[in-house]
Amino acid sequence: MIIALVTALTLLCSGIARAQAGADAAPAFFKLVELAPGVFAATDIDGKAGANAGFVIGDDGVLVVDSFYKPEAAQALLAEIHKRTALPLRFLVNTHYHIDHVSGNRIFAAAGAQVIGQQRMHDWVQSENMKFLGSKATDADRERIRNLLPPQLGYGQTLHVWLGRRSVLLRSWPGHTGSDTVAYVPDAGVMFGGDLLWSRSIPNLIDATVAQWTQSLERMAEDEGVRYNIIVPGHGEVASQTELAEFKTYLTELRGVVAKLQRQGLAGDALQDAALEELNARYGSWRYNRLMRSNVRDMADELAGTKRLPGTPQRR
Amino acid sequence: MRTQAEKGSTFRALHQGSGAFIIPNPWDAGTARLLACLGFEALATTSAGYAFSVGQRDNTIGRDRMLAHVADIVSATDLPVSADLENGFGDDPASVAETIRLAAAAGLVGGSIEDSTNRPGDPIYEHQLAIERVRAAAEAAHALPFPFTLTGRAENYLHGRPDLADTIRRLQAYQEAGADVLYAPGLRSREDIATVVRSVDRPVNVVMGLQGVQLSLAQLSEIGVKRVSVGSALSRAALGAFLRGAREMREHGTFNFADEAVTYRDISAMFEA
Repeated sequence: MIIALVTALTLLCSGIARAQAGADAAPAFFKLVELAPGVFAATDIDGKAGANAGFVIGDDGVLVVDSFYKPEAAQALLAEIHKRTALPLRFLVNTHYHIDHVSGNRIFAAAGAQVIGQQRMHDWVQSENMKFLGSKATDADRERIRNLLPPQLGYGQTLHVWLGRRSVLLRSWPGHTGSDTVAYVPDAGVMFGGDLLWSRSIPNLIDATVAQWTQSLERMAEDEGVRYNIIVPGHGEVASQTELAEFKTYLTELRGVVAKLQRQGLAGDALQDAALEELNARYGSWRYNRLMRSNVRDMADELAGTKRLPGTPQRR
Repeated sequence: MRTQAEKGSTFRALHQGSGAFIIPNPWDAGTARLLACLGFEALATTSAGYAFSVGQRDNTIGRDRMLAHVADIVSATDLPVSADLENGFGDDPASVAETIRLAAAAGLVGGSIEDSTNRPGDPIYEHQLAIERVRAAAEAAHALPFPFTLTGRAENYLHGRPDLADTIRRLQAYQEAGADVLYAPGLRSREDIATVVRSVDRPVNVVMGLQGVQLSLAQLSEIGVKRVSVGSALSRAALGAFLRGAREMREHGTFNFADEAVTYRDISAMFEA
């Protein structure tokens, strides 16, 4: 059931099985693009890495953003970094706890990185990720999640990380999971938005608070006078303010449509069917559109005040 | 003559129909009577159209003169009238509420309140104040002894802020605060208008007559719009004809513009009733 909610993360059970078999080591997990001098985005190719990542080369070291779903992809990214610089790997930032963004944490830590995350996510890496395992999960799957490395350094609202003269600013914005980080590279006008931005893709709302998320989207692309127009999303291609505005409209419309239908007395499947009919007019062509039904369900729960959020007891 | 209560009920009912209705905007008693003569069922005032007719810019008229003007429009016909009450003629919610009470006293059965400040550099009220202003207007409107239809307006698009999500968020909040009709002037695409309609559950007003926007009443009805106004477009169309004629005389010394003019007899007949 839950597995169906998060198929955007790729089918995790089968993914784990493939990873363990060490099957076909396809070299191209991601597309690597240099967005500005020393600022790279690694965008997932057909789910082979499971999510996007990136890295920033400063004067005295390297900072990586996110570590993929597939450990092999993290290894490949590490190799790409070593090809481009001899500077030490100093930090890995996790934009949030979801398994498709933290699976390679141990690989980067072993290569010298300190793992940083917003402080609330620390306890969720090995606990909340369990819910992404379907009913067919094996002990090995559970063991894999128990072995994920959580952040070693936590912060609350803001953290400045200096790589020599180049700085990377980390800020926590609420919305996607309740512990989300955006990593800004002010001198390059680049921001790594994690899963707070989905570019023309239907998002995963399993842990989301849409009311807070839309407010974060209003404010997060401009910081200390810098307007960020190169945005690396957690999934999908590198985006701009245009895609951010579209995504904000999606969440706003989703909330409006579901609230309207609830006021009309609809619930359950009837509400979902009616909402999908309305939302498909504009968003039917977006990636992961099969997640829209679960988006409607999550939105309805949020509006009804019955949504379960990370860090609270599991819903039965 | 219909009572204000009858007009109020008629006006509200127009928003409950299956399709959209056009609420055209006259700017004086004469144009109001012409529109009534053509069979329109309700009228909306235009602050810009009135301002131009007295040689001023929009938003410079002030509350007292604007209310005197809308009273003229109300008394010109037996149709329900909804007024463009700009931003309620004051920043604070109490002023906006007072404007609604005065508007009702002037004979109106509806009015719109904008969230624009008239201050360059800071053109739109921040969310909380904007919501409080609509709430105050709604409380005043709904305390009246007849149905008064309050329209909440989100003005982002007219002030260089084409932010659809913020506009919808505002309209959703104005709906919660008690607005009966929602309106975001400046939306141009069919898709954006449809998104707004789907995202709220109050009737939506759309302004047509913007240059470059080609949507018919039938198309707007199809996507769920309930009311279509034209702002100052009729006024500007009339002034456009006026200026073409005036320029022709001034620049060419000819009078061909009169070929396009409505005949004395036809216009007189329309004022006979």
